[in-house]
Amino acid sequence: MNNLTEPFFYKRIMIIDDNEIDRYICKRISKTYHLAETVIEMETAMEALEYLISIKEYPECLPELVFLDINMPGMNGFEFLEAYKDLPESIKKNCIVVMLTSSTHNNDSKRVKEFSHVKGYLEKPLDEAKIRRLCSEEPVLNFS
Amino acid sequence: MSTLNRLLSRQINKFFGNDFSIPDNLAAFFEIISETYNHSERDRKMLERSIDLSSKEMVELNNNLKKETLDSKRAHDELSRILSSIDEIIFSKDVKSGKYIYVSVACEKVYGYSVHEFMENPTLWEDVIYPEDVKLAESLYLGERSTLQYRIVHKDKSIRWIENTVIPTFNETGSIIRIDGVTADITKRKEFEIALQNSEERFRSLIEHSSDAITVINDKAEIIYASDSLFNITGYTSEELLGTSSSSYVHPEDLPEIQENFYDLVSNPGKIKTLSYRRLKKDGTYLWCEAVVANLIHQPAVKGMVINFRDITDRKKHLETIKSSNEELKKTNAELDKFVYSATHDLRAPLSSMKGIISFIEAETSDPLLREDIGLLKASVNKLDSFILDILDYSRNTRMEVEKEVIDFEELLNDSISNIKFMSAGNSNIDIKFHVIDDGAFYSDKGRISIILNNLISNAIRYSDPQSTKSFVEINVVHSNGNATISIKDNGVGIKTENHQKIFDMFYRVSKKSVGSGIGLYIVKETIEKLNGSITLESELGEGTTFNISIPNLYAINQ
Repeated sequence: MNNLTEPFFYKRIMIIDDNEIDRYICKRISKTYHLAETVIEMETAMEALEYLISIKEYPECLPELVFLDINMPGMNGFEFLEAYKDLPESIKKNCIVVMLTSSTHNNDSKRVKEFSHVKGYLEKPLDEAKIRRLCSEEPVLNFS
Repeated sequence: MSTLNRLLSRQINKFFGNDFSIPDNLAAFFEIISETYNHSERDRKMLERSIDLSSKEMVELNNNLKKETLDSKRAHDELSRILSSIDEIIFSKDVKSGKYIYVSVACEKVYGYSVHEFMENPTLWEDVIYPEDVKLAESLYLGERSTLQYRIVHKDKSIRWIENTVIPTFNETGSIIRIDGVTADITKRKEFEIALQNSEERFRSLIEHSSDAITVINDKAEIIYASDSLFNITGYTSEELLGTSSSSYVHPEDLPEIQENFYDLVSNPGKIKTLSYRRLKKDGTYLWCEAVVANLIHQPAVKGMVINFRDITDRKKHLETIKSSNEELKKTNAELDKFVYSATHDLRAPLSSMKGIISFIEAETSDPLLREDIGLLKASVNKLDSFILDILDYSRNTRMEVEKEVIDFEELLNDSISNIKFMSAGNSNIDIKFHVIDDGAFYSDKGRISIILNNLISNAIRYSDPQSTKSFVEINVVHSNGNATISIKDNGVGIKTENHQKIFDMFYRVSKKSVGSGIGLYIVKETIEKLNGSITLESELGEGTTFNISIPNLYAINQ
């Protein structure tokens, strides 16, 4: 599985999560299974938003995929998605958002469907099977 | 020339010869004789004619007289026939002698005594008066036309009601000489009247003693009747209310609605409405009343709108209390809900981190002892995680309102099965099949149906026969407008008959080999009960288990 000869699926991805261990797991597993070459870690949603805006002139620096946690202090996942809608198209067009959460709230997965930029809803922790699904040709991400 | 003249001339001619001429003085004599004769002839004929005429008249008169006599006899017969056929007694009594001049045969029917008995005993009519009514009957024969109703004892000992009408006849000096009268048996009418009166009294007493107040208003909303019971409720007497406007007793805030309903009722004869509003009491406070208003204006017996109302102030207060405590409960529930979600999230978040880290260690170590330890750790973490999810399901089921949406069983089963397969990678050789028969749209709570299916299918997999190579789980669903029946059948280890009921108990685990927390089937049972459904099982040790579930269609319930 851990085939280092495989190319990385994404060049750059971002993880927005207040939990350090979850960011670590995401970073490590993404690299182990060649999901991405670079994982940008963001501890808060606000920080992530500011970062995205700051690099809008440099498309090569933009992440192609964002893992987004829901329960976070300050700005939560949904508030981030609201703000994300207003970002310039240049940022959004090459970037997909995947929710990565341990939320048990039924409504959360339903609510996520209202945001067209969100392409998937995954339950923590990230594991090999989930990474494989993300790396398939057409990333069909189910909202379970 | 008259006949006599001609005869005389012929006789003279015969006697004297044709050439004899009658002397003038003789001719004049003849003339006189002839004329006299003619006169007498005419008078005789006139006399004859008049005699003839008067005799004809005499005959006719005589005939008429005969006929009249016949007629009057017939009329008399007719009258007696009528008198004897009518049910009322017609009688005539001579005051001086005290004896009956006439009593019609109806007396046999009314009193049971014959005409003869009445004729013989002029006081018979008094003797048979029902003792209690003797005083009453004395007012008869007071010298004027009068009618009286009283009871008599019939010859057959039964008590009858009669109505006696007497008409006195006076002589020139003003004293009564004759009394005529009519006596009728009115027992039936009286019984009916009494029954009616009783029922009216009963009805009235029902109205007056009921806790409901009744008012009747006319088409101008003026009160035309108010029951005494209204006083008990509002403090107003019916005298105070009569003629006043009904709307002046309605709370100003409720008035527009009440008036709107009033106009609607007025224009719809026969219509009935139930209205709830505040009504003024005499002490100036308001009571909540629930009124049933019926438009009976077109009914001649009522000619008004009947308002039947009761005091529901207490009920209303209770309702308010229930409402506010309900609001509070809802708030508490919402808070509890929030707490449960964040608590379970906060409990699960570190577990998922642990799972992530464990998978790293698993992938990176080949030390068998460490791998075994890590395996145990992983099992514990998984068990704890699924227990938290069970608790969440349980709490969700007890507190969440039942939602109603169309259930797509195929979709639910597909999701559920793929989830379970994903979770229990070890048992992937089990053949899971399902078959759904759609016999009409089924409405229920998707979340709860999903809890039921998930638990039962994962149980079926969990307790599959490890020795068998042909383990299967077979799910059959038939849903219609009435209900949905779900059967989940496996050929797993099965359950002993004595344990069939216990398995639904909270935290009950059949054996040490039981993997779960013992809450799964308890949640299933509770969830099914919440949906008003039922669950039964058929199972034999070593043969497998079938759970049969029936859940009513919520759409059907609400219709």
